[in-house]
Amino acid sequence: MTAARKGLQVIPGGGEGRQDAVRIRGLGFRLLDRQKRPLPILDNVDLTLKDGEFVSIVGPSGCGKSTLLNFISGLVPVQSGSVEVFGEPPGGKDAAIGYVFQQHALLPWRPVLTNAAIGLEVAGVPREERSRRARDMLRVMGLDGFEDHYPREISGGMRQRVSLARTLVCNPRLILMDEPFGALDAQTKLLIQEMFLSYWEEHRKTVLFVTHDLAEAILLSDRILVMSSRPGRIMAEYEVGIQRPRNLEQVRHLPRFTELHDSIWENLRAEAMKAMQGRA
Amino acid sequence: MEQDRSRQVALMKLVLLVVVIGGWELGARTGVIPTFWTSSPSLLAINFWESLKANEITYHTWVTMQEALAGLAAGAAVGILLGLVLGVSRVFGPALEPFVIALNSLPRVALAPLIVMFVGIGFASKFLLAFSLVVVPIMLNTYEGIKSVDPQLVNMMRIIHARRDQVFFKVLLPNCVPWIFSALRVAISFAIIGAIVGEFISARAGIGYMIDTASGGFDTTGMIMPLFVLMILAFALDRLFVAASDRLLIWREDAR
Ligand SMILES: Nc1ncnc2c1ncn2[C@@H]1O[C@H](COP(=O)(O)OP(=O)(O)OP(=O)(O)O)[C@@H](O)[C@H]1O
Ligand SMILES: [Mg+2]
Repeated sequence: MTAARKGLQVIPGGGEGRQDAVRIRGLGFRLLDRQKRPLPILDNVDLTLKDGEFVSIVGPSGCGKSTLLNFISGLVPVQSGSVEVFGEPPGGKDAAIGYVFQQHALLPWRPVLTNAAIGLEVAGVPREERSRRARDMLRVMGLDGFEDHYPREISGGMRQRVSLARTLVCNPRLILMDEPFGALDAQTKLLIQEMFLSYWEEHRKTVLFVTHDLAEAILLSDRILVMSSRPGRIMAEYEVGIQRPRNLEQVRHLPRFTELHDSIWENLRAEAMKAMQGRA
Repeated sequence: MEQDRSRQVALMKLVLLVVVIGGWELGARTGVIPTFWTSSPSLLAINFWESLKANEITYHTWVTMQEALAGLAAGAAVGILLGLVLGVSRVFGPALEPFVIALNSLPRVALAPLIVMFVGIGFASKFLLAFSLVVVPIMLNTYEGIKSVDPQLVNMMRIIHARRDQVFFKVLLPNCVPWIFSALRVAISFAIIGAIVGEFISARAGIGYMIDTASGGFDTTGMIMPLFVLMILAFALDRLFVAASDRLLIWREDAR
C-alpha cells in the first residue's frame, strides 16, 4: 500500500503525487421549507482538500458550512453531486475521520479520561492501552490531573480540549472542525489555538476548519475558502502563504496578515449583510 | 452561612414536629379535639405498642410490603424493558405511544374489582394492582429518557463507527438512568397504594385489611395507627432511594 503510493510519487507527471483527502464536485442540497417549497441550501459546491492541508471555511451564518461538514463526515447522505473522502464515498466503515463539534458532545456520565478514550474503546483497543494513550493526549492538551473529573466539573475551555483530545487520540487522517473554539473567551481561545497549531505543525493531518473568526483562519490555515450566503457555494479562495512554524504573535503583525484580513472581509461583508437581512 | 441555614432548617423541622404532635395531644386532652374522630398521639402509641406485642402490626406490614415491593420490582423490570424497546424501535415506539398514554390515563385502581375477579383475593390480586400502577409510568419515563438523548452524542458515536449495540449501551441507556430513577421514586408510593387498595377490596391480611377491620368497629385509633406505620416506612424507603440515586448520579448538573 505505502509502496504503491511511493511508486506513484516518483512517476513524473503521473497526476497528483498523493491522493486528495477530500474531493467534492457539484454538491447540491435542498430542503423543503414550511410551505413545502424547495429551499436550496448548498449550490454546486466544488472543493478539493490535499492530503496534509489545513483549510478554513468562512461564510455568513446559515450559509451551509455545518451542512457541508455533515456531508463529508457521512452523517447526512449526499443528495446530488459527488463527495469522496480518500477516494471512497463518505461514511465508510473504516474512514478515519475526526469531527470536533461546535458543542463539545462529551458524555456527561463519564469522567474526562473515559470520555477521551471512547473512540479507542469503541474500536476495541484494550483497556490498558487506551487509557495510556488517552492520558498522553490529555497531557498534550494540558489536562493532566483532571482525568477523574466529570464534564460538569470543568470549564468550557477544558471541555473543548477534552473533545479535541478525544478526536486526536484516534489518529484520524482527516479532521473536520466546526467552530471548535467559537464558544471560548478570547484568552482561552488564544491559548488553545497556540496549542493546536503546534500540535498540527508537528503531525500535519488534513484539517477542514469552519470558523467565523478571520484572524483565526489566517493564523492556522494554508488556504481559506469564502462561502456565499444561502444557497452556499465557494465564492473565493485565498492562499495564506505565511511561513510555518508560525507564531501567533508575530503573524498578527505581518503586512500579509492585514492584507488578507481586509481583502477577505471586503468579500464577506456584502454576503454577511445579505444573510442578516434575510433573517430580519 | 450555608451551615447556618441548614441548622435553621433542621431546627425548624423539629419545632414543626413537636408543635403538631404536641398540639394534637394537648387538644385531645383538653377535649378541644374529639378523640373519637381523630384519636390522639398517646392513644396511637399505646395501640401501636400492643399491636407490636401481639405481633399483629409487624405481620400485616410484612404482608403489604411484600405485595408492594414485588409489584414494584416486576413493574420496574417490565416497564424499563418495554420503555427501552419502544425507545429504540423507530416503528413500535411512535405507533404504541398513544395507546400507552390512553391506558395510563385510565384510573387503574378502578381495575381492582376486575383484577380480583380474575385472580382471586390472595397475593396475586394485590401484586397485579401494584404492578399495573407502576409499570406504565416507568415505561413512559424510560421511553422519554431515550427520546431525550442529545442527537449530537449519537452523531459523535457514528463518527467513531460505533455499532448499534455500542450506541445503546454507551449512550442511550446511561441517558435513561436519571429518568428511570425519578420514575422509580414516584413508583414506590404507587406500589403501596396498589397493594392497599387491593386489600380494601378483599383480603385476609395486610395494612389495608387492618384498616378495613378497624373501620367496621368505628375504631379510629386502629385505623390511623397502621397508616402512620405505612407512612414512616414509605418515607424511609424514599430517603434510602434518594441517597442511593444521589451517589449514582453524581455526574448530573443538578445532583438531586
Ligand atoms: N433540518 C433543517 N430544517 C430546515 N432548515 C435547515 C435544517 N438544517 C439546516 N437548515 C438550514 O440550512 C441552512 C444551513 O445550515 P448550517 O447549519 O449548515 O449553516 P452554517 O453555515 O453552519 O451556519 P452557522 O454559521 O450559523 O453555524 C440554514 O439556513 C438552516 O436554516
Ligand atoms: Mg454551523
